[in-house]
Amino acid sequence: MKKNLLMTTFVFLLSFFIKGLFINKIPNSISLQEIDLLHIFNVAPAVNDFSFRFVSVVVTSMMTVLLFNLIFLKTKNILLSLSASVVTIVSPWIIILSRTLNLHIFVLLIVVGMIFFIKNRKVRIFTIIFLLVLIRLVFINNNFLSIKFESILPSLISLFDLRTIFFHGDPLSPMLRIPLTGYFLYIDLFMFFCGIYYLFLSNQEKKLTTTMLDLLYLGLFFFIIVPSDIIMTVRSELVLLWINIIIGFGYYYIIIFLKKVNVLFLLTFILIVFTNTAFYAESLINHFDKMNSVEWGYAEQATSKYLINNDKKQIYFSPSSDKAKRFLTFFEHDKKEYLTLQLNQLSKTCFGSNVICVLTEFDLNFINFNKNLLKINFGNDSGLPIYFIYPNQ
Amino acid sequence: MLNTKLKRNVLLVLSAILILGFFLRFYRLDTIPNGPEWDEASVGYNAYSIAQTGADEWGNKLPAIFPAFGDYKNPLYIYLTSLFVKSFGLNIVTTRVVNAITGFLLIIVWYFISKLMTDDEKISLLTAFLLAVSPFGIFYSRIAGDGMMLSVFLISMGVMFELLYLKKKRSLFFISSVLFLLCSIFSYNLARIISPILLILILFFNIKVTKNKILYLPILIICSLFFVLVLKQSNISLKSRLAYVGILGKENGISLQINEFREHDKNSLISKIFHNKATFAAITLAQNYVSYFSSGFLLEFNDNKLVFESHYPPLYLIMLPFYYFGIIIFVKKIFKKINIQEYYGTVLLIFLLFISPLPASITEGISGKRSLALLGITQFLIAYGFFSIYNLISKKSIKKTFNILIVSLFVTNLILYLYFYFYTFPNKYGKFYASRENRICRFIKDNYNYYDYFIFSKKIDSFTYIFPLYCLSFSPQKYALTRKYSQNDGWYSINSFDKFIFPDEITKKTISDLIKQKNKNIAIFLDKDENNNVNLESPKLIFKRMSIPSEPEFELYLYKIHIL
Repeated sequence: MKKNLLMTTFVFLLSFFIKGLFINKIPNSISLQEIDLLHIFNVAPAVNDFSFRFVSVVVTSMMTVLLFNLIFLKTKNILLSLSASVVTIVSPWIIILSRTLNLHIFVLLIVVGMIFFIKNRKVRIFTIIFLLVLIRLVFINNNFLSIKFESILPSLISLFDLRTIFFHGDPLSPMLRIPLTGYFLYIDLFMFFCGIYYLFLSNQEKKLTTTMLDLLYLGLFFFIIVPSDIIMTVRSELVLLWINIIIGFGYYYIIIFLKKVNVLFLLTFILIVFTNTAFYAESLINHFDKMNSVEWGYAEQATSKYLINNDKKQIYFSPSSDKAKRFLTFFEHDKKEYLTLQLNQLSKTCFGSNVICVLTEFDLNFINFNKNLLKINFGNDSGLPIYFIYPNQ
Repeated sequence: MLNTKLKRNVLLVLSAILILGFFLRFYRLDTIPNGPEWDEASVGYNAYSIAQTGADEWGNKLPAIFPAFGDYKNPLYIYLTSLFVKSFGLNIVTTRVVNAITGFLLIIVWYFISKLMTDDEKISLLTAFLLAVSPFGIFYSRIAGDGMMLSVFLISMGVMFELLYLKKKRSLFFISSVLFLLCSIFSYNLARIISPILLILILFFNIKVTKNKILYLPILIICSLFFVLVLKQSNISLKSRLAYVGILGKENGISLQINEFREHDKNSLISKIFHNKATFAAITLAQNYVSYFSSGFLLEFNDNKLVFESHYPPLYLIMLPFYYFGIIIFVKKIFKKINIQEYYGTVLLIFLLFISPLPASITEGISGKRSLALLGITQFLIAYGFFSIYNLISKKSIKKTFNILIVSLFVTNLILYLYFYFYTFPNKYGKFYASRENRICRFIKDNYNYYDYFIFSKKIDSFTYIFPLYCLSFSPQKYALTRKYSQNDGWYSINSFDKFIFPDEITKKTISDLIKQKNKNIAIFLDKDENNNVNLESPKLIFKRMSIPSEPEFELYLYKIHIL
């Protein structure tokens, strides 16, 4: 019991540490989805303050702790439980989901929590199904007819595509994709099959097999009831969690197996895993923001920061710079006046006196203005300018 | 008595499967798919040339590799085709028949492989049936661009004889296995990677089970002879193919990607360690490799214009779970206590499964034809997986429901596929099988004697010259005597032969050059752009536009010109 408590604390701290590490830097900007959520909860952080993301870190860490205890409860095997939990802490898909404020992670917490706390299988399944339907109707879309049945099969095929899972990640949500990385590590592909073998074919963990099958069915159920226009990572989060746990079992199985065969093999294996993890960490730290900053709000955030410090009371936005306006309105909504101009009003209003305009390259082309004359501009993380400020001051 | 009855029933079912397999491979072989397409025409004409003169279209006597367009075609398919061409003349059926026959025989071979591996008639019959109706099995048996199906057949024969050797220990089987694998190397490029690996594995296994080690002497001699032959041809062909299609080939995006990542890191040491050709090639290779076991490849349709890629996925949807299950259960077998022969047989098939995607993985993109060695082993594993699951079900009523469900879903899948292949596919994709070139060819065949010249440019296609050669069964000697050609970046470009002229593009200058001749009848074929740009109005010629059918994507204009 004492050991279990110790390990629980360890899992929570490890999860909190890894997911919370550099949270103010990666991702280095806020997204529109986060702005919408913060708006609902009436929270207005400073421009570069991302501490609100700790909510996600805590939620996913709690989920990991519950998962650890759930597996331990079923198997009484600390190493197996630890293996599944650690994989759930470091897997790319959950790392990125934990570093952004979203409600979807609560689905993970609720489902794992329900499986852990409700002992009766039938009651448990019906409760979870009820809650999933409720979440779907209240938080995602209250129209059940929005499910496109003809797209379920192709998206299921895509969901279980090994290349997508282990190499590409979600093709439709670049915002949550770590470059050169799938939902999981490359090496996890092998671990996945080992986990499948361990769980379903070796007949070593019968109690756990039933629970895992329940989780898979629930994951598929959630996948089907969530409309297909919701990004894949979110639709499939329960299935991804299922795959995640299986991979964890795979690691456990391989470690035990290699330890029996030859310690040198085990060390080689650890080296491979370490290299793969380092590669993925490098991609996350050095390339994630550079590749995805357009989908996030790097340029909008920088624009907002500049405009907040500007003393002009009226700021004009072109239709194509509406995203920047939404950001600025969020960060500083009651001190200044933010107005959107029509394209044909741009030259007349912006070139008048004592105003400040936020324009894009499209607008400048429209009014036939040389963009190189505008010295103040804000671009995505890799430097490509997106918003231009008129006048130069 | 019971045994005889059982055997009779098995024979009956197997015969029905074979009849079905035969029908699906030979029914309308001349028209589905349309053709010949470029490579079929090239293979067919080279076979014709061999049959007539013993030399290929470039005059090489019994070559070990055929230069053809400059793409260096493997010899075995062409030599085998030449036998049919010699007997029945050059036409689309004789060009395709080798792949069709080997595709049909493959069903029998895999029936025996399954039987040798499992000793279970049900699994063996199901393997044969699945292969008979396999979308890839049917598609690749009905095209002749290269010897893909022949190659898979030869590899499978090699595997079958090795399994027979492991079981019966007759030297003939060992030698046959080695011979078939060695022959496969000359049939299609995929075998150049797969067969040597299998050969090494077989030699390694057999050294442990062979009592008469002297047997290795003739085998090693045969291998050495083949090795010399392979070296002779691979110097030119494999390098040129890999430079063209390999993942590190000239025209792929790896270098750009590396530069982008290095720029992010300002060319730091870590970036150089992680982002270089070796790591990116390894990732691409791994991604490509995994694709061949992924649902994206196994189940998704390809809406492309490629004549060598099946538009229908290799598996029917319902088969996928059995396939994955079959793989796991079959691999699990090697960890069980089984006799050495069974163990080697199992390892051999597992190797075949896991090395089959390698030829496709080292090239860019996802390719059905380069991963065709999966054909057979895939169907075997599906059958194996199916019966493993089926046998797990203990209740009779559930077994019955399972049967009804799977059979009805499978039949639905099958009907949909057959409708696709024999109706949708020719209508939707038939035009990509050189339809324009074949229309030109038909016109030439009917009007060869009337015209002094036939002119069509390389804008219609770079290798259009092969079609008149093919459809007229043009004399190879006459072709060699009248041919004018150039070579560009390793590819041959025919500029003219006999009555045929192939300028780079038909322009006003082409017409003004023609006018210098007197009293000639010329047929000139133009594509859409050429038709818009060329002006045939001249007092020195009379022209008339003639009707020739064409598709909107491949517009074709035909003019009959008489120079005064």
